[in-house]
Amino acid sequence: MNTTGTVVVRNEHGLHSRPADLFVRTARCFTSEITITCGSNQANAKEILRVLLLNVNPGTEIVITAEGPDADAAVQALVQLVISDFTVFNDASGRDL
Amino acid sequence: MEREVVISGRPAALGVAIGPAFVLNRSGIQLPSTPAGTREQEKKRLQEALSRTISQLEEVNAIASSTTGAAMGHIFRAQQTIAEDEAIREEICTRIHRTACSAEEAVHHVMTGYLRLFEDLQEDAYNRSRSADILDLYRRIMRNLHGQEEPALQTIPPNSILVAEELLPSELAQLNPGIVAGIVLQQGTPTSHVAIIARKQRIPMIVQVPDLIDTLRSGATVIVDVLPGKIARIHIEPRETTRNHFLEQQRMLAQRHENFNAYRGAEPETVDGHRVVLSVNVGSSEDLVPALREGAKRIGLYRSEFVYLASRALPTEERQYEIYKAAVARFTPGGTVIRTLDVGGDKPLPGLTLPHEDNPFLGFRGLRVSLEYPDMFRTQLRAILRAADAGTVQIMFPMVTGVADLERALAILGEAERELEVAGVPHAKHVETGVMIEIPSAALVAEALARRVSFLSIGTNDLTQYLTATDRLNSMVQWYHRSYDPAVFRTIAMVVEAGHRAGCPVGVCGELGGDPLSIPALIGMGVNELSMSSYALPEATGIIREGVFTAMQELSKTVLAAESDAEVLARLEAFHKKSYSAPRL
Repeated sequence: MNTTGTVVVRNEHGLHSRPADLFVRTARCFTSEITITCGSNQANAKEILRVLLLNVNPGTEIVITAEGPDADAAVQALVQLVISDFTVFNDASGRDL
Repeated sequence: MEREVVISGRPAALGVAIGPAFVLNRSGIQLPSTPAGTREQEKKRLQEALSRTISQLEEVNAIASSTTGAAMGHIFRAQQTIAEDEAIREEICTRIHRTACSAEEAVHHVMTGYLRLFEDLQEDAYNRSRSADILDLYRRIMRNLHGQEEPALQTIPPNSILVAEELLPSELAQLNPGIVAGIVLQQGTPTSHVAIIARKQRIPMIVQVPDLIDTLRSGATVIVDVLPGKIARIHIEPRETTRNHFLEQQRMLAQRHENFNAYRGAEPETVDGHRVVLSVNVGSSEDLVPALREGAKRIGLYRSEFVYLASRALPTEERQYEIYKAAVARFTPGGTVIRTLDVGGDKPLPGLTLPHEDNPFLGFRGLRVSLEYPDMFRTQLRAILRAADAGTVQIMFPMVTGVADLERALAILGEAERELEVAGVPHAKHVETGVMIEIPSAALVAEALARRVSFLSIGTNDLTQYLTATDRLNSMVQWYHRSYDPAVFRTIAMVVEAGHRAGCPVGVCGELGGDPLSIPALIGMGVNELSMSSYALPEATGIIREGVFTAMQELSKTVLAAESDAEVLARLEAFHKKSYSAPRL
């Protein structure tokens, strides 16, 4: 299965420390291969340093692509995380919302 | 013979600190000279060191969260996320496997490789500061490979000025609050996590001070001098007079902080009984609680843009209604001034395609966008009118240029009201309206505008931008963006008089409204309301309560007669010095 979602990052500093951390931790909850694309750059969504190196600024559009058995759920969870301004997350740490 | 040395740097956390230097000299990380064990042994050492690292980080996270607040704990959680990264672990293992090197060498190779990538990010890239976190983690993994303890920061004498090349978040988190009086770094950035912690804990901090470690020895007296609007500096082995000056400065800052705290929530009334309204600017739902905490009773500027920017498509009437109502209900009876959507080509809006413009500040923005999309505008106005039923609301229009656009906006407001009427939806009737004065043409016809509404509010940031023809986001022309220009003050005075002639109160809701130096002059000119960020409220209240209205009126006359911004500033500063015991921050 292959799914793609597009979302604009709108929080104050973009995909920086805490939001990037939540993003990666959420991605790691899924078995699918997940890629985040920002302009011409790409990163594995489960690799925190690669995601940080994308340096996604506020107002930037990112494309999230997942390939695997839970691709749909993965893209949906990550898009939801970004849209909710990083308030709706499930990072397997027992906290949500 | 005393030799005082003064070095300047970049400000990272405000304040003044005086104390003995504690120069943190870390022994550099040594790569082992002993030959590596077998590949399997080295990989096992790596796994053990990483496991230890992860459990230590969990612990530091808990400590940091309890001493500096939950928000700070995430720094270590982020480091933990790196330590748990399968790809990085894989990379280190591959290195051990391929080159039969020690775990230390492999960690060094991989982590410094990432550090270089972060340092290659652009100078202004926000994530560039994250290299400090990677360095912190790298050192921790190395210590764990060597079985070393954490560096002994606990030996720092109380009230020291901590001096280091670079300070890592985990190091600052280990320190008990109150141990470090000030922080001076040779490297570092104002956006680093350490700077954020320092600001929260009110530890004065200065970064990027050159040639520091060589110049300074532990025990030398150092003054950290970071005051707003001034160059951030350190004074090493200060003269007696310098030292006394800063001791006094420090004492006054502390007193001032205490003084203004006492004014939180007090009535803004001058010594001779002149009253003004103080209110707060709100730019997101998260601003509401801090505003209430700082004693705010009224929202003088509710920036409705955030409601739009947070959604993927244009927000529905229902959603807007819920969000507005939450603010309105909390600020009744003080009231909430909701400014209608103020976006433009410089800020993209989800669900609405705005054209790219070469000159967005002179282009399609503010009320101009709302008038072009009347359906969207009516949706917002209906939501506001419905929310107004839950308390006291006034509607303010941004970027009004003259009577024609104001009348179009008022007509659409009338339509929105009729729509609710027809549909039988509960809503407030006869909601007061106001005009934001930020464009010179509106300032010049302010009286005509004021006759059509109930209040005026001056947005000084844009007003200054348009008066001085200076794009406020263009760093090349910042020098021309003069907030203290006499033209700005004369325009404000003119608008105040025009508003009063038409029976309208006039407020100021820009930067200047919360500026302690400008407040007495603005009140002296007859400004009725000042709206500002919530943190500025206690001090503004203090300035009003300790001030005399007749003296403020005199001050405003001298400010209006000034010929340059330097002259305006000199007069405002002289007044402040004469009238207030506490120094300006």
